[in-house]
Amino acid sequence: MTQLLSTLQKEVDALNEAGSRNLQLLVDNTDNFLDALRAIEADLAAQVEHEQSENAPNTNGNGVSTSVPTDTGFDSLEIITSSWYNDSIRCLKGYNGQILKFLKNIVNNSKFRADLDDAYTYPLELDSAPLNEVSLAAARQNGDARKLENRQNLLKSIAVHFLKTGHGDCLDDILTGSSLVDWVDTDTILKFAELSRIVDDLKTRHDLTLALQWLSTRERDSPELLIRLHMLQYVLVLNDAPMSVFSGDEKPDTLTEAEYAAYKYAIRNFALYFKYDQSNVESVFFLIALKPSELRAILKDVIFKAIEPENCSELEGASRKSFVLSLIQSFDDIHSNQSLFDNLAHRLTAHFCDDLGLSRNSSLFEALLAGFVNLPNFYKYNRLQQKLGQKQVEDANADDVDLPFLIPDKNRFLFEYHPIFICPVSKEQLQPLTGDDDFLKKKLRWPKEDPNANPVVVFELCRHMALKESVRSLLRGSDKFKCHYCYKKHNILEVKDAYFIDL
Amino acid sequence: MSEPTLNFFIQTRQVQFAVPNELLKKNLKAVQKLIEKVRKLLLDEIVKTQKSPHLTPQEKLTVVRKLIRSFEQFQKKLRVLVDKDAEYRRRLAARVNRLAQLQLFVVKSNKDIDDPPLDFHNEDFMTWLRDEANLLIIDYLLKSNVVGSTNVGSMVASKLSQKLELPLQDLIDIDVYETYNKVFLSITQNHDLDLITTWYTDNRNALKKIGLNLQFEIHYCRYLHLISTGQMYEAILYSKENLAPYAQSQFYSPEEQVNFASNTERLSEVGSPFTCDGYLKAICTPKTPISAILYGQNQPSNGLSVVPTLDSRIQAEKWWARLAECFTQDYTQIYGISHTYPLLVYLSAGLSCLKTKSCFCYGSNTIFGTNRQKKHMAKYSNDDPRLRGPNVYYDCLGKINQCPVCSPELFALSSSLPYGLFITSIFNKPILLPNGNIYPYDKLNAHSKKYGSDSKILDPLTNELFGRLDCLRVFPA
Repeated sequence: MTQLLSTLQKEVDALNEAGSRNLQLLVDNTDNFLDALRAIEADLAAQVEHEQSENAPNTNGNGVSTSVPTDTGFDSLEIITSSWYNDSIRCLKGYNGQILKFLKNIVNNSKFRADLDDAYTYPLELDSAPLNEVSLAAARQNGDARKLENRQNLLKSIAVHFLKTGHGDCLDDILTGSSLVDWVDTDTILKFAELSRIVDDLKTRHDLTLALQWLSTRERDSPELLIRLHMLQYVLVLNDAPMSVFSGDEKPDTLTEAEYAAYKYAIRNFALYFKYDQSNVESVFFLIALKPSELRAILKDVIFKAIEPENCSELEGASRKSFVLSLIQSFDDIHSNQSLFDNLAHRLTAHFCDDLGLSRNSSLFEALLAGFVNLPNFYKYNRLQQKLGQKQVEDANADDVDLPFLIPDKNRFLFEYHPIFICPVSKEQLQPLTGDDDFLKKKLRWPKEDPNANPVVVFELCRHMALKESVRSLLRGSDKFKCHYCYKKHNILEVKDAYFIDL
Repeated sequence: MSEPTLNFFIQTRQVQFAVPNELLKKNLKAVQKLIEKVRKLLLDEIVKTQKSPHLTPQEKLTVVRKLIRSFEQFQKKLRVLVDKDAEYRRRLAARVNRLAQLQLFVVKSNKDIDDPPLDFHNEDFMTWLRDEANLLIIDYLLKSNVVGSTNVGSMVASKLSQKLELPLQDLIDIDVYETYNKVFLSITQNHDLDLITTWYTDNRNALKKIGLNLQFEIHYCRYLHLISTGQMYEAILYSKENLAPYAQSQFYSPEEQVNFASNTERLSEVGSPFTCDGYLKAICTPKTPISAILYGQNQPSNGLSVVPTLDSRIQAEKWWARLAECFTQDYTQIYGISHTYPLLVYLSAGLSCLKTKSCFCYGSNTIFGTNRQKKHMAKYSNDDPRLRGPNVYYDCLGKINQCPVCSPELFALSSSLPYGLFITSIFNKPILLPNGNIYPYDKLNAHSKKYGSDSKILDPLTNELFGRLDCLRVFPA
């Protein structure tokens, strides 16, 4: 635990304790005071009753007078009110002290502060204020039309985000009051409604039936998700044994009903995948041996050790191993491991989107993820600029410039969407051909330059590469140049245009 | 430069602790006020009884019963406030618990250092971040809502909280942002000053400390609103009463002195929106305090109505916008909320880091009709360089572009942002075919085996077959 987190936890606990203690005291004190008032009321009521009975004609005629109730409580009203007040204020003071302490130690403590405004180096063309579509005319007058378009763009990407994350029911709310609602592709929305049902079953009810049904018709070439779903279903059957999986066969006496159901399930569904990933499938299969045994803890430990993550270089392999580990760790209390279900639902959604020709993940989330990863750099850069007395925020329309700092490589594995070629000579980034006719007609604002001008070229003799412009600069009036890496001499005719194509 | 660490995640979420703390402070003040009020009420009654020493028990009983009734009402109100206090504390606890989960996601080898970086390989951390993204989006929807009747953000929050395992109500200060949005819209959309006036009164003390100009802006807007709706007499009266004092520097507290000059300036220019309507030019003497301008001047005769022209309407929008901006500043300052929506901060950083020169508007990656472009099916010849553009070859190869910046909506949003600064990053084992196309060898090989033969390599884009010996490994870096 970091110092910061432990301080934060300590302060929140202290505030919580002070709050509940002092306010409970206050409430008790108030209740007691009310009780005291009621006691005085009761005394007075008794007194009044007594007087009335004294004044009334004596009906039983025995003439015995009862003792006179006193009302001394009434005279002490001022004292008990003051004492109630003083005690109450004391409670408030005690609590207020802790609130101020929290203010000092956390809220106003610079160690806890990284102001997000300080990390907003490159502003989007979008205001941080509600902007209504109705005022489009006014927006045009103020030159805000672009902001309005961007607000719509952001709303659209929020809509797609919710659709892809199984919250399609929020779409109506988001698009309410916006003209965007007319542009939605209703066919796609309907298809996503099916996804929503599948994901709801998977995440909320932990029922994999629909997911398995949908996926088994589609995933032939890459069975990764299907294997995981089958493994999880096997564990669920082992735990819950839904009736639907029983066949008419006779169950051997040595197995419980759940075990038998799970065994049948495994026979039916695991066989295909043994050759794909034998060790992991086997590990999960062996869970059946653990269920009733007194040696459960030992066996579990053995299996657990057997598949403990090695240095698995392949990302997917490592991820599968950690899935199986998590399955084994929580197999007898599988429903409490919600993240297992969430992660599978996420993968399933990715497949679903792929099927519809959409990118597998929510673009908005991916962009935000890049923000989570890289925000410290923006924050540090901006703070440094402030210290150096530079202006805090860069000019808008920075679309023809590069970021002033290199993005760290460590977490780049999350974002490898395009092949990137940086010319080793000019340090410029290759701009592939995206000058499609339709695209140019739309007059989108970037990329601006003519992309045909500067393709990448391969040097025929050494097969190193550079941008064409850079080679021109290397010529220096002759028709020969040296490769920047290996110094091999090339003729200008010995280079060839090339194009990176990712499959 | 710097990595995302556990501490940075805590530091950038300070506002999540500042807001409930402010709410606790306010709530406690409300409790104190309530106590003071009931105490005064009780003591007043008690003093009254002391003044008449010969009360009968019946009279005393009536007094005590009255006290009990008042006190019971007080108790009810107190319970509401005590419950609120518990709710605010619950928010703090929920937030610190959520941040404490991050301990599970730190890079294992760095567990012992005080500020460990976070491990983005961890799938559970990804789930945590997905929730975080949803929180940011709800925060955005709450604050930027434009629908007057219901707040989109709180609707979405309540729907999401049914499905997510998150105590959303405790993690976002929905009430605070909803109030902000409501007041904001009442100003900009309804041109109504009631909510902002109430809010100002509730927060007068805190606002005085900040030293901003909200009260002046409210008066100024009300005055101009009266004029623009033709209520001349009321406007003049209102101005004399509420705006004239702002022309005197002694009216300002030391914190507010900075506003004196600009306020006087605005007061003296305030006739200007009216000049466009012609008949009030006479009373518009620049550089004279408004109170002097209006006091003792001839007033427009009865029955004169003012029909605002388009210009004056736009002008009026500006006054309201200015008031709304001033309100936003005050609001964010009181609660310590960042001025920019956090969603935009993360989005701007994220998009800049992802934006490459290979990005293009990938029209089919959306659910919105206008952007769904037709796929480019081989409309270019095999030797046309345009066939090699990612915008074309993705479609021809049936490949889906996963890049978020290329999605039509974010592509447009990122137009004003710089490009990320990268190092060369090309797929493994790039292999050059004689036609100039460079592919990842393993994938190309698998593809060729499926459709071609072992001895030849098939270019999936042009469907040309090449001898294996003619295909060469290249070295981009």
